[in-house]
Amino acid sequence: MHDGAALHFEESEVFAVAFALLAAGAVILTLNVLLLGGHIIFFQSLSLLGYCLFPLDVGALICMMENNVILKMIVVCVTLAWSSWAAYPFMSSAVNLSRKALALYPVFLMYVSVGFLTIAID
Amino acid sequence: MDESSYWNLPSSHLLGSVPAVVNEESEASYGRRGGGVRGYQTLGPPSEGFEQQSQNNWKGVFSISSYTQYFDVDTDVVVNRLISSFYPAGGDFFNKIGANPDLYGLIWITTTLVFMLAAFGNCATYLIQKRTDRTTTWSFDVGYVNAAACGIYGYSLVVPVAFYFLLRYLGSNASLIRFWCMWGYSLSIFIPTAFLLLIPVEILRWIIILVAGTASSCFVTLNLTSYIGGSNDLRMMMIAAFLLQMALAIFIKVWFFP
Repeated sequence: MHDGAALHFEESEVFAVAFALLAAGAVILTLNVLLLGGHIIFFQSLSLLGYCLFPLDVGALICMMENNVILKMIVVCVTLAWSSWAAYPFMSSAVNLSRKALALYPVFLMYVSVGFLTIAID
Repeated sequence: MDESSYWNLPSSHLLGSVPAVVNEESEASYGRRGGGVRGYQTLGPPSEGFEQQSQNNWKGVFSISSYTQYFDVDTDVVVNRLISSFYPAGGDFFNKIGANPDLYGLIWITTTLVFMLAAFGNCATYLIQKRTDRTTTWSFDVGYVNAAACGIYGYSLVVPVAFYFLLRYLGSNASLIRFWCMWGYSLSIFIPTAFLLLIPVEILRWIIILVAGTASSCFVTLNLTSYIGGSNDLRMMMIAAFLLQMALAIFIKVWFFP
């Protein structure tokens, strides 16, 4: 099990996790669409997923200045819905109708994990 | 459409809009079964793609089209396989897969599980510490992400490979993709389990994880038995599979939900 001093919170590790999540996540999401037989242009998808992250950025900025957990949760939920709504038309039009949910779920998962990191790190 | 027109796609009408493809190309391509080739890879003539696939050399490793066969599933197929993985009885998972094993389940179930363990593990650790010591404050242990990723990805990638090689060595037929598919879906029961383990009652947590671990292990063992054909030599394999899955369940409880 963990030793006594193991509950560590290193900023560099948090940064590494966030950066790896977003960078690898965008590439993997695009590959996911391509593997499901969808039609997508690689760099267009990368740039679009990056831009759709903007509402969560705004949410993270707001959360940085807040201390109340309930308020943070509300802000993150709103911005998460906004980001997902922004990425939805692009992703869903890139694949077959019968595989739409398969292409959209990983996008949602990535944004949820970014949202969770926003709330969890304080 | 030959490849020279790829470079002169009319695009002035696309300024400001975000379509995935040019309209006429997308309507023509959706009808075709092998439309996945058009996604993004070789810019050579289409016949070169078909020759590559029949040559079976290393050129196929770097093109997407050689992997699309493992992702040829629809939403309802994936949901069907997920639901069937929750019921350990009846070892017919390999029949259900049939000729169409998919790696989509493996990749995204393991990724979801890694996220759930890291997130809910932190929440649950905080909740149980709060019960014993009222003054603890929330702190996010990033090491959980590391441990979850290494543990779950490592287990779900290495264990099927090990069984594949062992069973091949012992002479029975085994298919690596099917093993990866089955072990991937067997982990899906741990996702709602991770959510349920938030309850900060220790005895309840142990009951939950033991039930989930048993269900998952039975799923793996029954399907493995029905696929290989039960014979006495391979009984050790089945027991090993059962114990490994139980060990994973115990590891999840002990490391992430102490």
